[in-house]
Amino acid sequence: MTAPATTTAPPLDRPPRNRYLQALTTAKARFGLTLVLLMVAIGVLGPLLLSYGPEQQSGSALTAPGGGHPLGTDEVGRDILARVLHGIRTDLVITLVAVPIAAVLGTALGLVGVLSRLLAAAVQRLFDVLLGVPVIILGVGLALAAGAGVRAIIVAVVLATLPTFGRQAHSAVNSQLGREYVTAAVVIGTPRRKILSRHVLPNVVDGMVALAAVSMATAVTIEGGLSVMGLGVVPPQPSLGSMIRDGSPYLFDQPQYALVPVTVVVLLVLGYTLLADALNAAVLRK
Amino acid sequence: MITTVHNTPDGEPVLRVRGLTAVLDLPTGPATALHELDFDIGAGEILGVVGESGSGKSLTSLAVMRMLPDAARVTAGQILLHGEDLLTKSEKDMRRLRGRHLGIVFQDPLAYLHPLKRVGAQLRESLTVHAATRAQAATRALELLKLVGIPDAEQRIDDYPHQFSGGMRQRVMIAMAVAHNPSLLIADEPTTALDVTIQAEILRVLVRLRDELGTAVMLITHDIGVVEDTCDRVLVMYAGRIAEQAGTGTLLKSPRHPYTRELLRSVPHLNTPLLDRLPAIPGQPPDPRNRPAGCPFHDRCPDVRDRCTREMPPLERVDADPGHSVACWVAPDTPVQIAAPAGGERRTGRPETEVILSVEDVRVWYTSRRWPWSTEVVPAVDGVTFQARQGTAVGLVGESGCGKSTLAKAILGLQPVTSGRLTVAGREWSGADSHQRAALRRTVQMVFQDPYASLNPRMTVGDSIAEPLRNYHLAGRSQLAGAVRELLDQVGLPARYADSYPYQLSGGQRQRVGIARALAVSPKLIVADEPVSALDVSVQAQVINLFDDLRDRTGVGYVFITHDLAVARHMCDDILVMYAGRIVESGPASAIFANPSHPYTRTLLASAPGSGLTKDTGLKPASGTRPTGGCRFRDRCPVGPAANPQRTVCAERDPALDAVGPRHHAACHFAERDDR
Amino acid sequence: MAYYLRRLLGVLATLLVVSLLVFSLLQLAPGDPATVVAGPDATPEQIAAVRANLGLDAPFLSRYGGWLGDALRGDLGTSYTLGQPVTDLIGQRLGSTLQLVIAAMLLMGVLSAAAGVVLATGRNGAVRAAVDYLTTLALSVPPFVSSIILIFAFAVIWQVLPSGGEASITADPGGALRFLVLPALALALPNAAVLARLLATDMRRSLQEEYVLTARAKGASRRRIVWRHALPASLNLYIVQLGINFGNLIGGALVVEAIFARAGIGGLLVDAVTTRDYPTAQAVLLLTVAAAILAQMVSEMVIARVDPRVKARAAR
Repeated sequence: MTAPATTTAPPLDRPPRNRYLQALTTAKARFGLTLVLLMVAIGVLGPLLLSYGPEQQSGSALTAPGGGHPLGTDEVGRDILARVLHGIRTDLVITLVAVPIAAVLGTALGLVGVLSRLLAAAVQRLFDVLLGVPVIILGVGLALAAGAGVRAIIVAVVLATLPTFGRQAHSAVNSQLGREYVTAAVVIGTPRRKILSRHVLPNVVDGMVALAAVSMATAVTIEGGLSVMGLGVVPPQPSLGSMIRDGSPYLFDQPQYALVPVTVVVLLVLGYTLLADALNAAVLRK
Repeated sequence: MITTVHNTPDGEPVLRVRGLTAVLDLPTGPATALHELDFDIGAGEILGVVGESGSGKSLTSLAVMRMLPDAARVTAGQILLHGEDLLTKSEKDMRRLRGRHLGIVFQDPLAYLHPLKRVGAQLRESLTVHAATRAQAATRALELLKLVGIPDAEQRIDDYPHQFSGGMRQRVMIAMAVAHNPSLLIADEPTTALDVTIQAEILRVLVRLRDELGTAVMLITHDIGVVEDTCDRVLVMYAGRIAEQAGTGTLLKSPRHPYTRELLRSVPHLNTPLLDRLPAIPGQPPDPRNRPAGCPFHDRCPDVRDRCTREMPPLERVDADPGHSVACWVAPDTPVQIAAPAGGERRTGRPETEVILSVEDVRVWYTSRRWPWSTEVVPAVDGVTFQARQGTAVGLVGESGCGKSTLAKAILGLQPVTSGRLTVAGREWSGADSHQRAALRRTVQMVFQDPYASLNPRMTVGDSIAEPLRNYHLAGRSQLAGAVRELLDQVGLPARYADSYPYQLSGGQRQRVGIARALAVSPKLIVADEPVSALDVSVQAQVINLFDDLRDRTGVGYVFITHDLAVARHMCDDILVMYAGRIVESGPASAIFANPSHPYTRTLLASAPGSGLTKDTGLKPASGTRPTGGCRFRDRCPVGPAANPQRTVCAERDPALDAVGPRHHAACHFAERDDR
Repeated sequence: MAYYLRRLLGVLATLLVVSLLVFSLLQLAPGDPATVVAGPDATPEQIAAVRANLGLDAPFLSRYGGWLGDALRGDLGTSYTLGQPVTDLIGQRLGSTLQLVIAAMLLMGVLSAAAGVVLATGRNGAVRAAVDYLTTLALSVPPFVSSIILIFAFAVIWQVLPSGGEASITADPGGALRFLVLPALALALPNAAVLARLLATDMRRSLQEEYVLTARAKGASRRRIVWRHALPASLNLYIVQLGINFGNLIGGALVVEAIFARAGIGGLLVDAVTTRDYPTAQAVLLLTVAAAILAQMVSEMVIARVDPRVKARAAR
């Protein structure tokens, strides 16, 4: 045999590290993760420590912070802190219900191209239409059709983010199917099903993770936008957006009323954004 | 070729490099990329720089341009252009020198031209950045396009790069580089991405410009044939150092460095006797991160001595020849003749074996549909007939776009045939059900050009090789590891590589993995699409020998697609020359290389690197559209109606593939017969 | 030419689908529009009469056809609640929204281009890092949040700009601009951040392209390379994103109008949705979506003119 080449082979004891874990090694990514985890913890655990419910009129209207109400009370005497914490919960519920549905449904629709090119073209047209409609307007339309509320917001978030997952899956599949190692797999007789699961899907999942983080930020934005317009979460249920809407008239006298939910939204969206950046970079680095 | 060094009037060479040392900052730490390079280039001289990937040849050119990537920096040495050290210049001064005194041409002209700007605008920019007026620039741009031989320059000047062919783009790149008659022109693999006929044309343009303008040229290439045809002197680089430097004739005939000698021996050549095996250099070029101590070549060197492993040999002048220097402890004092054949005469004329591939009048037409009511048909393969037998190799040669890769896809069942019969081991792809297709897949396998792209980066080598075994249940769970080990052994890789990932392997090792994967199902036929062209020159011979060994051992047949005629001559029993979707000449390799009959084949052979550039082949440049009806080659043919207007038959009748000798056929009305 | 024709056909098909979706929202909605028109005290007979009068008895497709036909002729119907032609209602309020969207578009274009170029090519590390942090932050501030922050800063703390309301642009241009600054900025900032980052990423990629090496080898200065080579190459993606973001601006404008109490079509839409005034709501929805889709089409046609490869690719 010709030379058993052994001289310059790089060390073989270096398993590729998990890229998602690797993504979290930068300071920005850690900060993003901390923000998200912090907000989730506050939203989940915070309400348990409170003495007032979010819809309970526990004091006189519009009191300043202090005296059992760390952030004061709103225009009908409800505890602002309690409403903010429950508002975070509302947003988390919307995010955690809508984004996984959109991810799974969108990716599935994006993958139908594998079955039939005609079907794929039809799905891509549908995505075109959905992406052509500005997300807020989509939400308003749903509020018109289904009545305002958490349900309409969830559907709006699903419809607004689903095409991005679909596009991502579609292009990931297409780029993978064009790869030479997929041709090689066909040649060595690997069944189509296995080609998809072994060679194609791992790359689709890569893109999904980063997109999910982006979509969570979008979900908060949609909820906020619709609620601020008065077409989102229906009172008296609190949400971050409706708190901002209700608090904005009192910016001069009780600024904390609107500014606290504003801060929460900024931190939450910043956390998602930083996470998405890190995950994207990790996937691109491969 | 010319071997005198032209010096500028003051006796100073145009470029004088002394002690050039550069460091590459890698994630693993700094690594020496260039080590104490000393060389000169005189006016009107072409210096060839030869080396493999990682040898530092491109880095050297970028260092001269002072355009090193951020990760690389020069740590010592001088780069003197007309006696002035470029390393001490400010960036602003360098900007004035670049484009005016220093020109560079890169490998892939499409990537190196701006996609959104007209060719003329890009050309004019070369002039206006150095204070030419718009009017001057416009006039000169047109002059330059004509200088590099672009037909219809007045019309083409407003086209975009994507509207040019590869060869024309490279001419534009050259025009930009010589816009100001630079003292030094660097050409970094300028023809690697091009077909042989185009390559010859581009090299001819470079040589002509050198002659007309007296430019000093630094020509970087991996191809010894290119060096032979164009260069006055040669610099052989290995692992960031100069291994040997000499006049082209001296270096090719009597090299002193074992690397140069072994490299020259291992590369198949069109005009040398066929050897049974190529004398391959073992191992692969060292990883820049991890170069061996002492002489960097010692671990691959047949003449290695103790001293080589410890001390780095300096570059020393060979006494007899002032222009010849070599960095080797064991370099002999007298030149070595390299012609000595190592393996004996190549066996020819194999016994008639079973036909495993039969292609009968096969057409593959691509249809594209722009509007629902109109279709466009592209005949990629247009009526091809041939056979391949077990244990033999059929070579498919031709330019890019001639249909050879489409034909390969059809043989592999990756592309349905439009008409005709294509049978592999007695079975046809068309009409086969999934069961029959699976059986067919076991009989015909493929080895790809780019071994990295054809291996899934997420799978270990072992998993990649095991995949076909699993698909056909050829090995039980317990036997799988053993079967993989056996396949690795067959392709000369140690068993421990099963757990490594493709990125941890060198190019040659990856290609061995690709071959092992193809062998896993014990195919009768392997289609290999340019299987060595992406590999380092010193590794190509190893892989070619491996293909040879496997054929002898397993009786597998090959369809070998290659643009390298010397490789085809070495590897193949039969040759098919394709042009525009058709076979224009077919026959035993010996007949085709000894008596090429079709004018296209003769052009290909005359253009092959190492054949000299002096004779003009008479090939006409391709016009955008192929002629239909009659001979498809007639618009470019050196003997057809383009040259001899009275030969109207070429446009009237389609030439048939007629016998011109024993088993030797050519499709030309004016084919030359073997017994001429 | 064929390229533009094909794009136009595609857009028309999309618009048709959108109009169908918008119209069918009414079908999906709970309750009967006729009860809204007839008023809360109407008898069943009165409701039936209203239904017949509005043509709600006809089959869905024929009603859709009629609505679409009227809409194409410029008749968007009559508001159920206000009794005025919808075109008049929209006409009264469109100007305010247009001012906001155009002002935001200009701000967005300028800010994102400047920030993008600095991010990609800025040689002062501190400035680049600052712009990087600012864009990341702006990205995390959706319009409804940026509005509140800007109002708090400029209207509450410094008291230099009004917190809401508007003035006629014809009668009092200076005043109108003062009212426009904060909402336009609030709307532009998050979108500008998205665009700036996209532009920066693409320009960084462009600067790595091989043709940049060619330009350097010609002796071109860094400034020339950035402005003449990298930026034009990245402009394609930027223009496409500009078109896509126009839709986001329209959507965002509706939200921002609510916070700044501007009498634009956002308020009209919200009122129409809450009072179930279907003709008005449908008309505004269709109008905004059509504007968004047309903006995308325009941007794609612009790049087809700029990039010779787009048409060549599409022709294949």
